Amino acid sequence: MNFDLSDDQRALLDSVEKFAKSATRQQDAPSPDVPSDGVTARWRQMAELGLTGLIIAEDCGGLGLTVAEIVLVCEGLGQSLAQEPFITGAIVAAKLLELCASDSARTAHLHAISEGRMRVAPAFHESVADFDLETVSTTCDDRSGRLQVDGSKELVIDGPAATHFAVTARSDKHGLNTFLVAADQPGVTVAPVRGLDGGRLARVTFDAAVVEDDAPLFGPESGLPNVETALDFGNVALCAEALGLMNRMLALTASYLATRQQFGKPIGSFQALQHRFADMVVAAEQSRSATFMAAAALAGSDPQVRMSEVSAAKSTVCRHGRAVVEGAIQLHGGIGITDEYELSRYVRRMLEIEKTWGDRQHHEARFAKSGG
Amino acid sequence: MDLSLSPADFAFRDMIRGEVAALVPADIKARVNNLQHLRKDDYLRWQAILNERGWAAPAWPVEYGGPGWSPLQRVHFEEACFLAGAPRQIPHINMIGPVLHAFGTDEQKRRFLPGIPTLRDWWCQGYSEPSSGSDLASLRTRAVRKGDRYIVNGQKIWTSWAHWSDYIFCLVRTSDAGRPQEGITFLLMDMKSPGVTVRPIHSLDGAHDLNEVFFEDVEAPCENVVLGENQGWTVAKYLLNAERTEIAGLGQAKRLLQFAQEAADGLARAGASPERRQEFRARLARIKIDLKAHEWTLMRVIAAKPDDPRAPSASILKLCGTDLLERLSSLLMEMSGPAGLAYDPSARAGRSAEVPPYGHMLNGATATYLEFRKSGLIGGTTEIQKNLIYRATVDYWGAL
Repeated sequence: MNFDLSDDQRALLDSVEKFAKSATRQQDAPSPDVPSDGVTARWRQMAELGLTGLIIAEDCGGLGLTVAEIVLVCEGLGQSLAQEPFITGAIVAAKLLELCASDSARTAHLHAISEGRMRVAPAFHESVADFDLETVSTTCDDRSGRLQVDGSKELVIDGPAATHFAVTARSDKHGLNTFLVAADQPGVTVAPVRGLDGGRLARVTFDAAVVEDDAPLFGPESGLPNVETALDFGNVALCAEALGLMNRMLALTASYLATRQQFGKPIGSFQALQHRFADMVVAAEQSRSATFMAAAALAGSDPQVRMSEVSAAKSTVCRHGRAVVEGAIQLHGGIGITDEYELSRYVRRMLEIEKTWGDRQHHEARFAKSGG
Repeated sequence: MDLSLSPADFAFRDMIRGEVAALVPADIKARVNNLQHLRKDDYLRWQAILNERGWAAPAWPVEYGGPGWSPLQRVHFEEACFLAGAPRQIPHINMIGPVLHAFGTDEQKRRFLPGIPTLRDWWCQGYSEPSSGSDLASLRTRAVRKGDRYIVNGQKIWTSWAHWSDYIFCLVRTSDAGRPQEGITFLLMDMKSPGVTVRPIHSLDGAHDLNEVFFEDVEAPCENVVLGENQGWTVAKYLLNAERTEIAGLGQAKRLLQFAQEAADGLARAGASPERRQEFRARLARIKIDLKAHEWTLMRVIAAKPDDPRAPSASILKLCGTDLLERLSSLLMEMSGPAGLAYDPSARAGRSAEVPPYGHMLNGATATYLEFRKSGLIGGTTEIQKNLIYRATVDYWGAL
């Protein structure tokens, strides 16, 4: 075990940080909305840097790197709020397609992701009341000789800019499975939904959307477990992104404590405020420890351990991330509750992370269920 | 960055767990697992067993007769001891030992080191005073040099196990010049010296671990000074660093977790309502999650280079360890429900052989809560740790 960066990892992090600073959304507009073409352009840049193929095997055009690099890259992107659509397209989708049953489809899809030609948005959720993956009424069945998808998916992250959707659906022949559906397929309607921090979500409806025979990605029994695996990778990526957000919030807060004067001295000289800052530091460090633990479990071979440790980490990051958010707001005083100040973006993005692929309640329950 | 344990680490952990579990005497294990207090003799027997295996002083290097374990191996050993129901490590072995290795004269090493791992010489720590708690550097116990000896007058307090001790390592004032830290000397004293008086302090749970120690014209030879007159603060800081992994309380927390898990599993049988069980289960899950993160923080502290500004500090370990011990002992107490009303201190202290009316575990539950109110106070209070965390991190983050 070793927590120092190798020279290669240092170089990767430097290039990611440089990219993230340039790719961050406009800071001057309040609650900036993200145009889809901006996401598309950013995805292309990520492909040029090799990031879209970060975890894809080298023989499929990727860099073939490990979970340690997922943590590095996502933290680097998080510091400048520049992850879209990396976590959905290069982590969750890449992992999902890596598990694809057909060799030829897998190779073709992974090459397309590595080269930046394909952006797949995971379209798993139908309920907006829970994070359950088994609440699926979307179907994919044979209608007069062609497979067709019917149903709709809510809150599809990075949906408006996606070229494809990975859609969970029930099928007489293929069980609860995941089907790859092109966004420009007739019968697919993408209705953009604005996200909390201006990010792009979508409600995606499938009305007799015809798909190819190779659209089911997995065998009939492995649909759900593979989705769980891919989302575990996605959740560790979100945890790492949250570490980047926390870094930035600590930095903003520390410099505010040093510069803001009240009662004739910097507010950082008051012990009550020092202790609140110390609480934020501890919360961030515990989040980092939990994220490393989960990353190690992703690399391991035991799915029970993977599920329980990823859920332990995500619930930790949700809880402690909120502590950092709330501490940062409180220590900033009035400026901390304005939309205009930089902190606002980090606050909203932290809440998005919390509400993506399972919040604290969801993951504490999953932790207990998976034998934690 | 490589986030996995090596096969060698796994192998050591499995080996040490198996070995330690087989070594613990059944009667000692029963007392530990009954949340009872141990007697001095229990510690001496266990230490003799460890000494035979060469494991009596886990933090000591091979050249001084230690096992030469890495910090991670020490963590695995400590964990194995707690999980096996062994007595806790006598902390002073890993405090005074490394201090003498680093700063002791040849004569001090020859004289004092051999008796430490065997507990032939039991040591206690004389730091806190009635007027010097968090502000330790203000201490006033005074040592005045007279020929080849010091004459010591003053009082120490909260001294664990002073009533069992043969020696005490003390911080004493030898000068009033300069900053308070600059006039402190690290002095070794014989507890049998004339003029030393030990008075017990009984804790909230009725137990006797803590003491007051009074010095009235106690003589200590000058060769018992470690490092040099007025150099004591340097020694004290070194000692703090030597115990930085133990301060995490990881093994202790894992043991309490075991007890809490057993208590939670027994709630349905004991007749607790589903609502109560639900709340306790949720809290237990959250504690387990935090304990996992804590363990990884400990590994990060161990792996960190000394000057890495991004490494978590020992203060964070102390704070999170305290938080876990406080929450676990609270949970244990609350789960005991009405049964926690009854308390037989002599059964807990092992002075009577009688089983308390609702069993040893329930007898010990509330007492354990009371006992662990100390965690936020010993080894630097929670508030002092937060001061230290602020000071250690604010400039780093402010400059980013």
